[in-house]
Amino acid sequence: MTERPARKPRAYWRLVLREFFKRRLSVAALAATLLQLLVALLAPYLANEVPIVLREQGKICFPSTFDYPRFRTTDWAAFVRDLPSGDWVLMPPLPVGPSHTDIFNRLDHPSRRHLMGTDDLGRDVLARMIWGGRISLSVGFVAVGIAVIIGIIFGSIAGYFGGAADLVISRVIEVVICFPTFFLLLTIIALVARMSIFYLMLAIGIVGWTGIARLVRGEFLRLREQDFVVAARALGVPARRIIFRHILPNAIAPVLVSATFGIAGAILTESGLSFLGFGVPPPTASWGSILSLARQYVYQAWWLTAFPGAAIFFSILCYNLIGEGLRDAVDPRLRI
Amino acid sequence: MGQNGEVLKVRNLSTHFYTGAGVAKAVQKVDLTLKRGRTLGLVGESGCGKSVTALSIMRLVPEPPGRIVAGRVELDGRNLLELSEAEMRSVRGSRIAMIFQEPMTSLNPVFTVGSQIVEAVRVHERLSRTAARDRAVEMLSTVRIPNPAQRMRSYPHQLSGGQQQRVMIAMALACGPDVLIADEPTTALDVTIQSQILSLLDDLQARLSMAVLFITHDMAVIAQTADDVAVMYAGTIVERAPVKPLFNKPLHPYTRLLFRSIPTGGARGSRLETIAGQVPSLLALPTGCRFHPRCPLAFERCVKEEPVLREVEDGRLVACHRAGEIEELMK
Repeated sequence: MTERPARKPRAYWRLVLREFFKRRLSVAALAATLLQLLVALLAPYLANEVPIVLREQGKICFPSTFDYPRFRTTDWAAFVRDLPSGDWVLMPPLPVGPSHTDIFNRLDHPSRRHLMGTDDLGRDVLARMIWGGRISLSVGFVAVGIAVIIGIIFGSIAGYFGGAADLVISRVIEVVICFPTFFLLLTIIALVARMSIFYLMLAIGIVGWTGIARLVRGEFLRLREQDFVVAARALGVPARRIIFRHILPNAIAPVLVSATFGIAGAILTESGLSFLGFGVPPPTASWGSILSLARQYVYQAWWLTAFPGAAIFFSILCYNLIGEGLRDAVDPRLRI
Repeated sequence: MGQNGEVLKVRNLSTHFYTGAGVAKAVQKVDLTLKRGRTLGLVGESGCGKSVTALSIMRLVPEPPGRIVAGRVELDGRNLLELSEAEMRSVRGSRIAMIFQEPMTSLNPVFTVGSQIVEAVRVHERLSRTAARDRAVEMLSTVRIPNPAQRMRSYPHQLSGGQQQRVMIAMALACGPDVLIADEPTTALDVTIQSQILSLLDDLQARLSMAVLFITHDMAVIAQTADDVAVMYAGTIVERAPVKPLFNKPLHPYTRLLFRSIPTGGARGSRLETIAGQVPSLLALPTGCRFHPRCPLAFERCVKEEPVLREVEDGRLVACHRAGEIEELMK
């Protein structure tokens, strides 16, 4: 028997990652996106009027991480000013929160104090950008997460069982594709009494699954005729297990690619809605809502338009670059 | 178990495919009997219905377009064609197992071979993970894979074709089936590996006293492995006999021509014998005997009347109107 020397197991994903990392632009986009995720995740420690750590009467507290009843009504500016000797505070690098208004510094130019200037209520634009990133990214990920789950379930059932199930699901997909996403979202917003960001995510997810369902259906149609699926059936493996354990891992790569593009789309949709004033409810910042405000001051305050606009532009660009890199990496036809 | 070790009986099995171009009668009135500890070789050209017969027994014919339109498949007297899908699933893998032609594509590329054998065991038997793992390692050593414990962690692409086929055999036999269907298990392998796999199958069959249905188009393989042979042509069985008498004296004109067209080492420069004409399309089969347009012995009756499989000599069944006269007619 011809014996091959034992090699370290090299799984499919390792090959894909190796291909992906050959594409510099995509890797740069991935790095930028990770940085952005990090910024969004660490927003309370980057832009906040609440200190990260402080020592008060010998006790160390983390007021921006944990909730202390005695600090709930604290005016932090006064607290820091009147600090007794021996106590100390560590403030975030940007010591203002996204909702901190400063009426005397309305529409201030970018300066050392406000790197991206202030808006019409004197709020720091950089702080709002940092916090707004959280909204945009969570909308992107949650909405696409919902879309991917629905898409995989319907797509795999249609593709694996075929016949009547396929017929019904394919028609449903065609119907949902015909929904004009934006107007459906506006309708939902009009119907829901108290708007919350969650409805937005749900709505974007519920209309966005069709592309993924079609993709998964196609992959399943291709894979269900494969020998290893027939072999699994010949071993008596139940259908549910064949679908999720045998076929899905082989079909997931294109879904991932599509999901990456989907995140970009969802972020754009949220920005668009917020721009029209139908997004997140007011004091909450999102990139779209900052832009929406900027509309009135386009001629006086360029910084209100430029920074959130650039943020949306670059994050969408990054997701698209990642998606493209991933698509090229998982496509076996491009490999030797 | 039935009389004299009969495990699986296929009676009058017909499987048709309903395609846009018409009905393809891929398998028509096939009778087969598998006995414990014996190998039945099913031979025929590509597209004659060998694989569809196997898939029909397993009830894995893709539906639509395929459908088993008639017949019985009896496993220990129980008709498999009447079972529910759930009941059938408990038969597959545990009572009847199957190995395929392409080991490369028959293993799931994204899982280690170990996890695939473990799954094959755990689908049918309530075993703990570690017990199933032990069984898998044992199966790998049974199919003579070196370093079985280490090989458990290998992905299919890290194994050679022969080793992959061994893994497939290990999976198929993990639950100790009574019947093994081997659909051209050595066609994709090179000749040296082929003989190793064949002797492995022989050994395992003797040890586990399984009934084996061995599908191939290779006469040499049949001669080496089979006890009995069924020759298939255009969806029907044309001749059934024990292997020795069949090779010594084929009684159906098709079988005879098939043997003649095997290249032999001698007579350099002589022409290779072929069977004139082409295999008929399953969509438009000839009337009467399906072989008559290519048969040198065909006469009027062959065009009109379809011959049935009948016993011509002791233990030898032939579907030919002229089976009795073949010795004088074909020299």
